[in-house]
Amino acid sequence: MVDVNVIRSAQKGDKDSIVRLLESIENSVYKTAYYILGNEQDALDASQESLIRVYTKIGTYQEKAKFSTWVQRIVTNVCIDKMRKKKETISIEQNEVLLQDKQNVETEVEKAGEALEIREAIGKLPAQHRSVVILRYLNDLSYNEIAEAMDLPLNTVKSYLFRARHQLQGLLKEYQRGGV
Amino acid sequence: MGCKGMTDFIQRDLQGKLNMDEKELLMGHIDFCEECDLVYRQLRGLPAKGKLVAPEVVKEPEAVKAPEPVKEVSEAVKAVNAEPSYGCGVIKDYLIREMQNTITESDRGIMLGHIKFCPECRDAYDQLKALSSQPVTEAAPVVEEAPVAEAAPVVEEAPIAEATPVVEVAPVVEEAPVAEAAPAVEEAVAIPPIKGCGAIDLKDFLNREMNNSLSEKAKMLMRSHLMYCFECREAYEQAKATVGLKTVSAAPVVEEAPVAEAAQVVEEAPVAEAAPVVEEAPVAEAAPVVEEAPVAEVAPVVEEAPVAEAAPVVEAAPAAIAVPPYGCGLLEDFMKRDLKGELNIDEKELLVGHTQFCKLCKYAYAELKGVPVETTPVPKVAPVVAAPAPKAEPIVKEPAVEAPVVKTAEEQPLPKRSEKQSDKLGCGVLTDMMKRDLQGQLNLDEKELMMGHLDLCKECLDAYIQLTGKTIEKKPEPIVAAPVEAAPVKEAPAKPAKQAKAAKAAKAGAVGCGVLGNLMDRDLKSDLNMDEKELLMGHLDLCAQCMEAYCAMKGVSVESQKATTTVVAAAAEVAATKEEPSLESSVVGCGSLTDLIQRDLDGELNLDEKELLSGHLTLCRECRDDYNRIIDVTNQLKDLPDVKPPVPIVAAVLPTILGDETAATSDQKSVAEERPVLRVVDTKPEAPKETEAPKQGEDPFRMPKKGMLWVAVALIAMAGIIYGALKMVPSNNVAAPSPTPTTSVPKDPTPTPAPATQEPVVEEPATGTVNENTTVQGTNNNGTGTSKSGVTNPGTSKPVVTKPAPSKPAPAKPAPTKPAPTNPGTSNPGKDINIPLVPEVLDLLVTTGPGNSLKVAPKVLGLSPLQVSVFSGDPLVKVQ
Repeated sequence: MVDVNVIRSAQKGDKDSIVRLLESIENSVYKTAYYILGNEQDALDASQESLIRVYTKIGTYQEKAKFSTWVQRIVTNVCIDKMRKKKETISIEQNEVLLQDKQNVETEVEKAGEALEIREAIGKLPAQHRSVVILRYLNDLSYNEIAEAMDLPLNTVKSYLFRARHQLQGLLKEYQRGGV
Repeated sequence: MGCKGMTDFIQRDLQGKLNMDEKELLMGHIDFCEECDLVYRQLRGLPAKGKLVAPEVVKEPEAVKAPEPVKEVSEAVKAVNAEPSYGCGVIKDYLIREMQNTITESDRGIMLGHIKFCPECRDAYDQLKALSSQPVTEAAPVVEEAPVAEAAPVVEEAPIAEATPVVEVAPVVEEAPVAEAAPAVEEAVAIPPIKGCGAIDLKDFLNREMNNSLSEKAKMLMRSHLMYCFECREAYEQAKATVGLKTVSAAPVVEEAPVAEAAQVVEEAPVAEAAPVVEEAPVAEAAPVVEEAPVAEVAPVVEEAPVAEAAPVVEAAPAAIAVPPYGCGLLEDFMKRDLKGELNIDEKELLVGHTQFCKLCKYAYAELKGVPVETTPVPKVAPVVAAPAPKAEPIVKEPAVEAPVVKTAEEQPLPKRSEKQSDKLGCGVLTDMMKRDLQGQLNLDEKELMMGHLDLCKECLDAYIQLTGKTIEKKPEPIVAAPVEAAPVKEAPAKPAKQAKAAKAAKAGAVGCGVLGNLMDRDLKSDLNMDEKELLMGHLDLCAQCMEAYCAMKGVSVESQKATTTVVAAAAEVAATKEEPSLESSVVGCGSLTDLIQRDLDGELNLDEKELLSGHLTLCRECRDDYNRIIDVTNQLKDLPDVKPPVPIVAAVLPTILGDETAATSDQKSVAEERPVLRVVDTKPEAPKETEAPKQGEDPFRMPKKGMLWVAVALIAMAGIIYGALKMVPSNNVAAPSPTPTTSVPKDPTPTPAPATQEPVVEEPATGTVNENTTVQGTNNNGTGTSKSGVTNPGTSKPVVTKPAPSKPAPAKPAPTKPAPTNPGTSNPGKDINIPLVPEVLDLLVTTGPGNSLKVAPKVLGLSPLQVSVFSGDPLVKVQ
């Protein structure tokens, strides 16, 4: 948990607090980005962008919401934007390039076969569904927090999660059958 | 109306709304408050003088005179009372708590009320009391205990029957010396601490009594407490004795006693005879208080009493028959509630336990329950009639003659009681249940309760077997025995005869064993929910009788039904029994389960829904598989590994943040880039909202679709303008595909116009290599803009190639550092588009010589054809 005082002093422009704040959210930001975007390089980009946005927009943060929720909101938006752009720009080629950059994290993750399957399945979900699933299961956000982070109605979040689980279920079923 | 505090009590009592504690409180009060007593009796329609003094008065003389028959009777009564009491289970706990001084006042009231009637508990209480007081008692332990042990029985048995007072006489005799011994205690001048139950401050009470500052109300409250609390009474009396207040405290009681006694005997006698006058238990309890009253004082009364009593007692009896409606009154509320079927099992036990010892209640209860007239009224009358007789005996001073009468009178109820017992079925606790079971009126809980009891109580089991005509193994087995074992046992007895019996029973309304009749009916109408269906199937699996009835109703064979039932009941076998989908899928639509499953994953199901879900899952293989899969997915999601950035991101971002904030904010996107990118100067206008400070409450981070739209519109507009400009100045375009590469290089190019800190790209002479010949721009981590040609990205060694803007010399403006305003590419340099260096682009860059156009598909560069046309209307990148 991020200390409120740190946030406040960061809002006042204290550099040390800013650094501490960013360091405290770094991992969660990266994790979200990594699972949404599906690769390390994009995740790094998105994380950097997210952290900068956090820094630039820290003044607008109000303590109505949890700080982590607010941060996740930034990350998911950055990631979703990135995904959209990615679709418009190079897709296959870029992926190829990026896949060459795989580093430890990915290989570690891939060691677990199941994790890979589910990761791939997550990657096939629509952006919103994917974000909901990641926020729910990887960042342990509550429905309300997800709704807040994604600026969606609560029921929509539930519905997304519902569908996402079903889609994942179907995808994994296919994996098990060797269909994918 | 009486005392203020009691008015409400009395009114509620008349309405039958008092609970037991309140009732006791009221009675305790009435016993001391004449005014309230009068009011109460008037309202109740009871004779004006109904105090218990009479039996007490009778007791004491009897004690002196005729102890022998009394003993016999007492033994008989004890023998009767030695029957198991089912309230004792509760009371024993109270006793223990009493000994530990952890009992509450209300519990104590209940306990004392019970003890009054239950010799077993009383004995236990006495024993415990003796045990606990032995080590504690100091100077005169015997004195202390004596009254407790003896006074209690006196009081308790008084109301039961007239013969009982006689029984009590014996202890009363012992009391006398006790009372006398009290002064002996006084000798020990040391004032002992007043140790009561702790519910009331006895010391304070005593002090105030000594100072005559005790209010009437407080006095009454205290007395009503003392009446029930042996401990306090004892302690209080002892303290009084030491202080020398004996007369003061005894005064009110004693004063009343002689006056009341003389007159009351006459009045009360009828009451006592007609009905269990002694109905008011508290009245009897006055005894302990009176007990102290100097025996000497009472003695003369005794002699007078017999004379007065003898005659009027008998005569007055018929005249003043005012039968209290609900026995001794202690359990009136219980009885009423029992009639309404509102008692829980504990209360029921309490009631039954009480009625076993309290004749008044017993008969009242039987009458209320509408038990056959022969059994109830007879015993009821018997004691009543018998009652006056023994009373009269000592009075008439012919104990020898009347003693046998007393005996017969006392013995009469005994056989009747035992008759009643047989009528009672077993131990009596489940009589009602058994009867209702026979009629098939028990619900499942009750049935289970009964079976549980039968399993423990042999008496009841026998009674039940007799009643139902079933063998011992049959009934209790299904519930006691494990279902698996029970099932095969049940299979054997399934015979046509029984089938006929079950069909008969079904016709008669009680289907099968009667428990599930209703469920079966509803099942045939497909009206059962999942739980009920399971319940039914589970039961059918165990109860052959019901199974037969069910099959008869359904018109299927028992065997096939059994197969179905076992399939349904055993979750493991469900898969194998897919042949019978009727049971599986018809129960709960699988569609509705999806929602349940999802909600279960979110932990939103309540208990019922959970049961419903699990019930269905045991039956429906498809849903179960679905459920397991989704659980699996959830678990996998939860188990996803935690990933961490390979390099510290904050460290990478820090220069941006701490170094040049303005640059960071103006060009955030380029900051994030670490990879080599091909930067293509785009003519796209900057999205205006990008850097605008978001308003509070808005989502400042969402890249709005509106923005994209705006960009598109702007691009279209720009395209129009450029097209127009090109038409007007056609020569501008010619410069681009100039045959000589060097000429195409702008003289004074300023490829990256955006950041103020950026240096203009300085043209370098062509060296023949791609890197040198092309205008290469690299983004550094600071995002401060572009570097000179040939500068590589610090993060990687890969070149960052930037496609310069098609910088044409401005025809209108000769400014050396600025491109011509008429040239769309340079007039509005827009922002850079980062293009990753995909292999195709790199290859092209390498193979393309300087001055040649680099033809890359727009898609590869991530540009739309529109953007391409904005550039030059031709292939995008031009290697310079």
